[in-house]
Amino acid sequence: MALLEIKNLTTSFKIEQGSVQAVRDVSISLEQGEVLGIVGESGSGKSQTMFSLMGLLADNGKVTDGTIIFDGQDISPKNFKNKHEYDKAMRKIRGNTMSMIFQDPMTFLNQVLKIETQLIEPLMNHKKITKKEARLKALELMRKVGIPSPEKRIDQYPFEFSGGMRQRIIIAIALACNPKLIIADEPTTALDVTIQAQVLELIDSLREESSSSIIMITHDLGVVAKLCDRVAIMYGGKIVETGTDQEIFYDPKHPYTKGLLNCVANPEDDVEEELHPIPGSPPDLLDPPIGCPFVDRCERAMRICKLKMPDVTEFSSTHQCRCWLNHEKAVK
Amino acid sequence: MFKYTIKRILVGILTMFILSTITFFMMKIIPGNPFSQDNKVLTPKTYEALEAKYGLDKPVVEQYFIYLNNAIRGDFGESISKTGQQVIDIVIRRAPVTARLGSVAFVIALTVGVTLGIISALTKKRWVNSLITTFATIGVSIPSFLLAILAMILFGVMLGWFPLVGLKTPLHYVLPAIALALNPISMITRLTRSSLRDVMSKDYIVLAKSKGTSELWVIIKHGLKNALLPVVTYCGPMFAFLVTGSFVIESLFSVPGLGMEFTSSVINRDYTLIMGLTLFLGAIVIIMNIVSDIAAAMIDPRIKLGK
Repeated sequence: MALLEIKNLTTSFKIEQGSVQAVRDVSISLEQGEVLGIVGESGSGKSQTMFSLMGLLADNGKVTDGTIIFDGQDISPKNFKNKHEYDKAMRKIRGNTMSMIFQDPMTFLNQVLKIETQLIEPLMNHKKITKKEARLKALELMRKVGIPSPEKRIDQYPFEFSGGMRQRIIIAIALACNPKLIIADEPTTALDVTIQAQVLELIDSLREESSSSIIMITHDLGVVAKLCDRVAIMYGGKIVETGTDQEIFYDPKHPYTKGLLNCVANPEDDVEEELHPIPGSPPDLLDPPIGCPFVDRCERAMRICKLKMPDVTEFSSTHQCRCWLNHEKAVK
Repeated sequence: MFKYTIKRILVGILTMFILSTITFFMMKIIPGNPFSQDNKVLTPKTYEALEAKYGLDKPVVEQYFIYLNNAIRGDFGESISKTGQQVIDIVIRRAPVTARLGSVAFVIALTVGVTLGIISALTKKRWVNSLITTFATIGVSIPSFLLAILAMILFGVMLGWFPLVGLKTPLHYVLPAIALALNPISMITRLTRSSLRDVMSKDYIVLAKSKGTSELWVIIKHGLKNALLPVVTYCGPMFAFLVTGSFVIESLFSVPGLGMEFTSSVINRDYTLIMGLTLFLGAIVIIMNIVSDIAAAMIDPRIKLGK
């Protein structure tokens, strides 16, 4: 049985102008130990899908439809009598069996609390241990994520740490209770390039050591190539293509996926090749299109694309795509 | 932390020096002197004798150095208008009255203000929020003497719940303390509210929730510690102003405190008493500022490093 099964998840945010359909009918499944990359540009709904899963949506956000089964338990918000019951159930999961690595190490650590306080918190929440034992465990975690002289560092404050070191602390917090699922929300985006490589290296080594599943949210296809077993491409709040890394990189089916791959520079090419950005901008999710969200930017858009959302076409048991071009009647 | 404290204390001493200098010369610029009102009664000879007694016949700069010299040795002189009374004794007699009233007002302001601020920041009921915000706006904008008079009429005269004059029993404290606290309550409510709102939308709050920490604990541990920082900084000077007394409230409720003494000393041109009271009030304001700065540095270790 899959560790995580998200079906038809729909999330919207109420704002003054109306309701933003950030996540539209998203289904994801994940096996124990698997690493899934979710790729998409800013505003494609990838982070909000994960915040919906964790139950950490902002106050104006709401999961309006869909089911989430995690670790054999139905944690869809609609499955609970009220928000209080939902929060109570999610509190037992968050930081324990499911945890999250956040994007910006500068803003996600509390500047007025010592590293120790922040690091032992998930342990104190979920394990029946004393503060002393938690501290020892925290030191062990700090060693694991590669922080030198943890005995000294544990009593310091976040502002005494560099960006890369802070991100290691955030990772250590996520790892604290040895979760079954780790969600990494663009863990390297806010870091500079050399530190990015180190942090990716760290996540890669942790993946090999533990049996945790990882969902990696990123807009960096390089990260996907390095870490992920499977990839889901999101656009306009929908998953437009999923497949193994091989299938996505060598046999992309969706024009958007192809466009993304065209945006990546290949350092092995001797010829100075120009990059091809995808022209246009993503759809307005306040008033989402009824058809394919990519239609306005797609070079090969057809009339049907504007009228109806394409069905899923299966190319293999792992490779699926939503695009009218794959329809049997489409001009190849 | 030690170095930080020492630095703050040295700056405080310097401030005291500047305060005494400016007050001294301002006092001298005001026309007249302690005896000028009795001019018609006093013969020129008595007048000169009196001036000589208090050293007022000497050049102003010399007077200043004499005063400074005495003050450093702890001698603030004798009150001019209240013959035979040492300035220090007057302060020692009057200060506790004001300080007691001020402390009661401070405790009320802090507890009520922070509580209202938290409720208003976190409530999802719109009417609760509007009620508190309206109250806070009224509290800030209406002068305390007006509210004090209204409270006196309503609770003292019409309902007769509380006595109006003096500070004899705990009941006597209720009205003046509330009148004093009203403005600080409103300020603290507004500060706490805006600061906590801001903090609760910060990224580290999301991370705290992602650890499975309960909502209440997230607010207390991760929210309040950050949110109360501006409140703590405000509390130092506020406490100083409360315990040094408000002339308006003290005269309305006939409280024999420092505020009343201060005003009468200025009217009487009682030079030594003016200086003594100014230095005393100044010292309290400075000390409370230092205390609140140290408290802030204890909450947020970045402050003492100047980051």
